[in-house]
Amino acid sequence: MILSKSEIAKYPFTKNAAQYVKDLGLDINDLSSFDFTRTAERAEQRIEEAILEGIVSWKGKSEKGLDYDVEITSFPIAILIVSAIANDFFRRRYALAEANRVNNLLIEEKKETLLNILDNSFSWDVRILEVTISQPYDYNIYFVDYLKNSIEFHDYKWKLVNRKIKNGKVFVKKNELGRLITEEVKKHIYTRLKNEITLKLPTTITQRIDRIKQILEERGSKFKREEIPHIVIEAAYPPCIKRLYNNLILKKHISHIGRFALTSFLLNVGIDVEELIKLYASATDFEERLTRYQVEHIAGKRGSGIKYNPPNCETLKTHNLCPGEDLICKIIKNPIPYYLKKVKKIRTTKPVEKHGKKNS
Amino acid sequence: MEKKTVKDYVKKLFGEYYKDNIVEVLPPTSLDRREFGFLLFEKGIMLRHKKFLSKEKLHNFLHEKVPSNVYYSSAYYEKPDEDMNKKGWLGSDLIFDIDADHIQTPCHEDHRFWICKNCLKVSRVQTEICPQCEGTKFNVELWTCEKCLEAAKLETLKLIEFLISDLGFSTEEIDVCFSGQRGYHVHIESENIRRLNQSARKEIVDYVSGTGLKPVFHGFPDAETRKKIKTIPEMNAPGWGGRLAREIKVKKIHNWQKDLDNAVQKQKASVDTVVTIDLHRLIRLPTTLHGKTGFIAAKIQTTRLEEFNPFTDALAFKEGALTIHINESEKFKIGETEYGPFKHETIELPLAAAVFLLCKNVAQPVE
Ligand code: SF4
Ligand SMILES: [Zn+2]
Ligand SMILES: [Zn+2]
Repeated sequence: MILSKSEIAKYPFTKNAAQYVKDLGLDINDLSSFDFTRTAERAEQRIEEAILEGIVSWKGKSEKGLDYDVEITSFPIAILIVSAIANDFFRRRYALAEANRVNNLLIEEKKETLLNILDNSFSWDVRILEVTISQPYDYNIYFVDYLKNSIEFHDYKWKLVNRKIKNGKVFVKKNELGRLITEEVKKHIYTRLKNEITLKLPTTITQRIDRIKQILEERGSKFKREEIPHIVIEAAYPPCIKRLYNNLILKKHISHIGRFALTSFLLNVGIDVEELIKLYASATDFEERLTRYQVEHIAGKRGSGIKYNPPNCETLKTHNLCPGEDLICKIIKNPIPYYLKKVKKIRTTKPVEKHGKKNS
Repeated sequence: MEKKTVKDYVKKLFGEYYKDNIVEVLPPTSLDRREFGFLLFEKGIMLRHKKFLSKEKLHNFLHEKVPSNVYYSSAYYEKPDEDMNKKGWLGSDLIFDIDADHIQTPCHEDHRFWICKNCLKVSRVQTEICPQCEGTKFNVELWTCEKCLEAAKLETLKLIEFLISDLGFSTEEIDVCFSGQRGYHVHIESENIRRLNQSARKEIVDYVSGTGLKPVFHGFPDAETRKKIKTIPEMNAPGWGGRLAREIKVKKIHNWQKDLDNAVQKQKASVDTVVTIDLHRLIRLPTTLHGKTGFIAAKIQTTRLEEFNPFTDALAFKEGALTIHINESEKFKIGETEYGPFKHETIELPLAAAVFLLCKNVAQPVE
């Protein structure tokens, strides 16, 4: 099934979209022959949105007269720009932001549309199922295709052993298939971003590249990794992390999400992977290999390669992991900014307590 | 007779076997893409990174070198004979190793024995100093036990059920073979699974071994919600849901969580995780001889696995007899006959039984 024009605009990574761009006469190797001022503008906007908001927008519903052609062609141009900047952190960020956009769009789609998109991109073996009271699943998917992306997710519900499977087919709901597609889109885009750009780019593009590099630099410092002190200051942990940390030491049970929050927090403030694995191994009876796998994944050493931030306070609250706010909590939305604020406060009031050294 | 000459003797027998039965030795598919490895009788040397372009070349190699053990890679490579990092991985078959060592049979603790490297005295307990010659170096050996092999077979049957009903493989894609000593190997050759990475293979192992399984995802209430929710999946439900349902007797529950855990333990297939997730594994080539038993690593039709008995169906040396001196040996069965236990005895045995003991390094030929 061929995708409609609006669908191509929504899902510019599909084969139909690539063909459409070609038919429009936009040739990446000969950009001079195409008037793409508006396209370039939108491409730059896509990238800006990725940097600043972590998600590329879709104005299909709200904005009347949205120019689908601009929307469609801006995608390969944005890819070109990001590839040209050749920064791996930025590549991942952009791929993720485009994938997030797709994820939101898929939630609204009909069952058949997801299948059309797949036929038009990754050719997985997926079939639509009739939903009944006793059969709540929307699709089944060949387990090999399922595994391509399920292995990137932490939640136990994604483990193959926790799925209903019959004759090689895994049963999934629509939002789950959407997540699997999103993950594949992210990988697909990331791979495209790794292409080396050797052709000479017109000034309309190079100017934009310079502007984006500047935003990246500014934002980079705001990305606060630099602000994080070189020593780990335990006294600056927020209440939620303190409690999780104590539970770990006391060998009390910690939920999956709790462990994820703790691990990602500690990695972000500078405890290194080996140290953390040791900590887990001494405090729990987790199998070392599994612990290593999980910790390394969160550290971005495996799988998607993205270093994870701790969940926001809102999420922690819904999982009963927030023991109650203190004054700093009231002005932050995530445990990391809490830590940074508290560090500043401690530094201006009393000498630093050491936990361990980064790069020691 | 010295130890070295025992090896020479077994090597000679292996050589004769390969000479008379070379047509039985089947090369793997995509022969020129596989790496081969060989253990030689001489000093236990391992030859790796070998490649063969034809069945005849492989056969000639066996005639010439007469290795004690033959292995090939589950992987396919661009250049199988290059160093590891230059091979160019193209994919790997999906393999499973079911080894009696990993199964808790009642007797599994009893099979270890130590052989003095100097005087060949057999000890059933670990010692630092040989009581016979005061030597201090020992080889650790494992007895091949019929009961343990039977247990391994059961696990293999469970595994095959997972592979067919749950994962949808066809019997044609599944190759089962006797490992030659203490278990079974299952090979799956299918384009679909060749490019699976380690994490994906880990997920498959976890699936068949029930690792990380949470019954609530299969429709079982947990200990708390059980008071309200009384229903569990149908016994014929697909996958783990049905497996657990068949084990759980809802009426007489003692400890819900424990009963569920037990159900998983009963239904799971015990496989060696490391083997399956290793993309570059060398694994015994089916239809070749095992240097520790003299048995054939026989290919077994999936449908015939249940009645397969390695002590009758994997014998290489079916004719002739040999007089040997046995230092010490447990009871064992070859074909329909039971032998032993033996202690310091010189006796004529049918060739298969004699080779078995020679390979186990507890006997020497008498001339
Ligand atoms: S408000 Fe946020 S930072 Fe503060 S304790 Fe709760 S979860 Fe932690
Ligand atoms: Zn001795
Ligand atoms: Zn046994």
